[in-house]
Amino acid sequence: MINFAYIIPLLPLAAFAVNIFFGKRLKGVSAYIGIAAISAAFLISLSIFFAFLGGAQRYEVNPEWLNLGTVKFGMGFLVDGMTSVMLIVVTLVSLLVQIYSVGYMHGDPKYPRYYAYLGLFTFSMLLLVIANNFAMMFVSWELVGVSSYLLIGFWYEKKSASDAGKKAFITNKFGDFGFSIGIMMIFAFCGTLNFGEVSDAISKGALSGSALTLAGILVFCGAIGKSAQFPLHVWLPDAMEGPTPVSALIHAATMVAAGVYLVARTYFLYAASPTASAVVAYTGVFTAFFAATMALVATDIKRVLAFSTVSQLGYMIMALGVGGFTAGMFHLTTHAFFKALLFLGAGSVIHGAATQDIREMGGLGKHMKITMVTFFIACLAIAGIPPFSGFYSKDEVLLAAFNYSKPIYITATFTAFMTAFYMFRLFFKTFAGEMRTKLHPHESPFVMTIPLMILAVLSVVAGWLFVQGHTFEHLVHFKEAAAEEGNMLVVWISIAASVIGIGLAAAIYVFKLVPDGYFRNKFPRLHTVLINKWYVDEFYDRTVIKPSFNMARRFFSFDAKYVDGAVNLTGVINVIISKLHNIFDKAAVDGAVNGVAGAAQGGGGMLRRVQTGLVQNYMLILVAGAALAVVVFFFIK
Amino acid sequence: MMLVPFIGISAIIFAIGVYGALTRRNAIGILMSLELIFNAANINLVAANKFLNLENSIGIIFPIFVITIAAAEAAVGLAIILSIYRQTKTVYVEKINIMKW
Amino acid sequence: MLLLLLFAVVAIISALMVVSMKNIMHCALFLALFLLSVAGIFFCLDADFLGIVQILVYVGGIIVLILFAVMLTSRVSSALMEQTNEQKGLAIAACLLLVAAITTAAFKTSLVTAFYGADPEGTTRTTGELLLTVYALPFEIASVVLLVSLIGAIVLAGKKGE
Repeated sequence: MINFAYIIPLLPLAAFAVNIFFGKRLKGVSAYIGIAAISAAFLISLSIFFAFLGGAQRYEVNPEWLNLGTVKFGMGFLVDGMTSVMLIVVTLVSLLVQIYSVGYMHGDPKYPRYYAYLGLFTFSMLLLVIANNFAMMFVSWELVGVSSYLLIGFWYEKKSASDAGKKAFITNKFGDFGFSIGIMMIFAFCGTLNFGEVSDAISKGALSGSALTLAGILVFCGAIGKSAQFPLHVWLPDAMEGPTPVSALIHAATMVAAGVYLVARTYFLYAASPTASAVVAYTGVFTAFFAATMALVATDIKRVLAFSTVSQLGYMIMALGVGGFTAGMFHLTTHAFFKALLFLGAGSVIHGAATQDIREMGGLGKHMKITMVTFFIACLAIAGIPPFSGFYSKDEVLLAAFNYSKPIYITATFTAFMTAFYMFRLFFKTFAGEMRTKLHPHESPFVMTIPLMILAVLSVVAGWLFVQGHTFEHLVHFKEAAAEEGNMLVVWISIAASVIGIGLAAAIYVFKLVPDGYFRNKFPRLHTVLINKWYVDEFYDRTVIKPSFNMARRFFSFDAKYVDGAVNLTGVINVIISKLHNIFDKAAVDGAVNGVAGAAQGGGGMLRRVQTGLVQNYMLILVAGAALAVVVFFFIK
Repeated sequence: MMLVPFIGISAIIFAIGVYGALTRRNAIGILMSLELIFNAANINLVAANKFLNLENSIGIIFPIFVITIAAAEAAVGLAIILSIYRQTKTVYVEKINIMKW
Repeated sequence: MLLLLLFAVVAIISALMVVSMKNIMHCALFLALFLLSVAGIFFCLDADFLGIVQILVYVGGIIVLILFAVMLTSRVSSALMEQTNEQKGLAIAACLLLVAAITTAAFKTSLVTAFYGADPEGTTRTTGELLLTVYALPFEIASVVLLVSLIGAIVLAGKKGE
């Protein structure tokens, strides 16, 4: 079965093709096509997963794709324990999201296109997971970016949605830029892009020292973008503009997981370079803390979850940085389940209550029992209460951090406390107490609640199942990283942090021990900073967006009146020169001014004439250039 | 007999084709020039096959595919020209500027 | 040898005619002559199958297609209009440079020493065998390409409810 792994991504791709081309005819049937394809993919993934549980070996197919003489590129797929876990996570979450969407997107005019995009998204992520080389990884990486752009901006009639799509895409491009340079560096030093071969080359010393560190950091830039790490985290909260099931998919299984997966897949870079992994670790822990602070004050249900995703991703990245690759992947897996559950639950709440603002909610628990119970389970899981899945993975992450550096560990534990607090703040504000505004909540249909229940079961048992007999460590293991010794102190501290967080939330929001808005009034300035997301967006607006807009505007005006500009500029310069050097007589100064202006005018005019819009002109230049290239190549060496 | 004269012939025909593609105003004329270019390439391939004894007679097989693509190109290209002609009543390329801003 | 020279000369002259004649109809007819002489060159190079294909597909198919297109658009392409644009001089210079560059480059390579190996049997048999064994997949893909372009041409040229 393992050798058929390449079929898994092809199935959603087929669904995408069918839905995008025949969507108008299919209408409602398109959902079933998507679901059927992803179910088949899930079943294959499941059989592969069980094959690995049964002790299957790493399987790689690497057919030659491009032969450039001495340089050969392979284009195959690689399946090992980590891949099999990721396949399960991606296909399962995608399947549940697609089933859920039948209810959530019911009646949307772009329904078939929605399923087509979901298929494309799943396809790209699955391709990324089974890629066996950097080139293929990068291609699927970009595909993930494109499909996320399409889905975040799915309701593109809303300006905020189309802006959010663009923001996600462009922010990611910053990271991808570094990633692509990192790939080129790796290729330049190792002469191959295959993961296994690069790993061998590094252990032989083809890439070492500061070059290795730089390559590691550059590759990590890609992960910073996709996994929404500081400073490129800004796109993720805005990505909430997409349909909620898409948020679930992005946050749980597909897009943001890609960055973590990338770092885990290229762990050999970080295992060989302590500096690069320190960068990873500090970025991760800072992001975890930073995002958690923002989640404390957010009032939009989806934004709270978005910040918690950023924070949890910081956890995973930190785990990878401190050498706990297995722990990081474990947290990725369990997080996929409970974060998907949280988002789908939030979708159910939004669907039922028709608002996203938690200040307007409250007391929804009476009307939406299934949603409330499943949401509660997810909150417990993310807070890290035993025996829920989040406890096991978070514990391993903290353990890895504890053995690496104490400051990181303390920050991470404090973040765990904040996590528990803001998740239960969200929970109590939404479901407990009295209704604050007049809403008419109703429970969602079964097609939406059944995925919630499945995910709730997984959120409870996934962690426990995986630690039985160190199953996960057998599945996902890395050469360099040895298994960590258990440490009861870490366990108890993390449980205590969670319990205190939950208790505090309960004290404030259920028992009202302090009046509402007490902390907001006590620390108004901190609150403002947090609610404005530490002004990162404003900072980017001032330093990146505004200047580039200004630059664009300047180019535009230059284009429109370049002659004027050139004349004025040279005129000003020449006036200064003429003042300084009064020796020149008037005619000479005039001559210089006119000469420079004339040169600018003439140059501009000539450049303008190049842009004729006639293809034949361009082709003439192309042919002349080609002929000159031949001449240069053969005769002037 | 040597290979170089054939390369010379095909280079000349290729250059003539390029010249035609660069200067023709009639879109059909440009398509015809493209056929010249294709044929120049084919002459080169066949001659190379003859003189260099290429593996698997690739020099014979490849021109067959070139001809295939040329036929497809001619069909689609002429269809495009016809539909443009129907829209704009002209086949002169510098007058076809509907895509130009 | 003499025949080959004749074909080559005819090919070059008719190619020149294709790009320089004012009447596009004459151009198409010269193109037919050019394609025939290229087929002749193929025959002289023992590529008999390819020569036949050249005549069948090009002269029989593409030329007819081009003639159709010429006739359908003939109203505007009157022989009186200037058929070349103003970048003629530059284009001639660039193309001469191209020819000079390619031929001198060819002389500089090891290809100069390659010699003619006569093959009296012709290549039809090997071509056929290769097309159905080694190149079976490209062959099938080519047929798909043809089918797609056929459909594409129909869609593009067909009138839709005007």
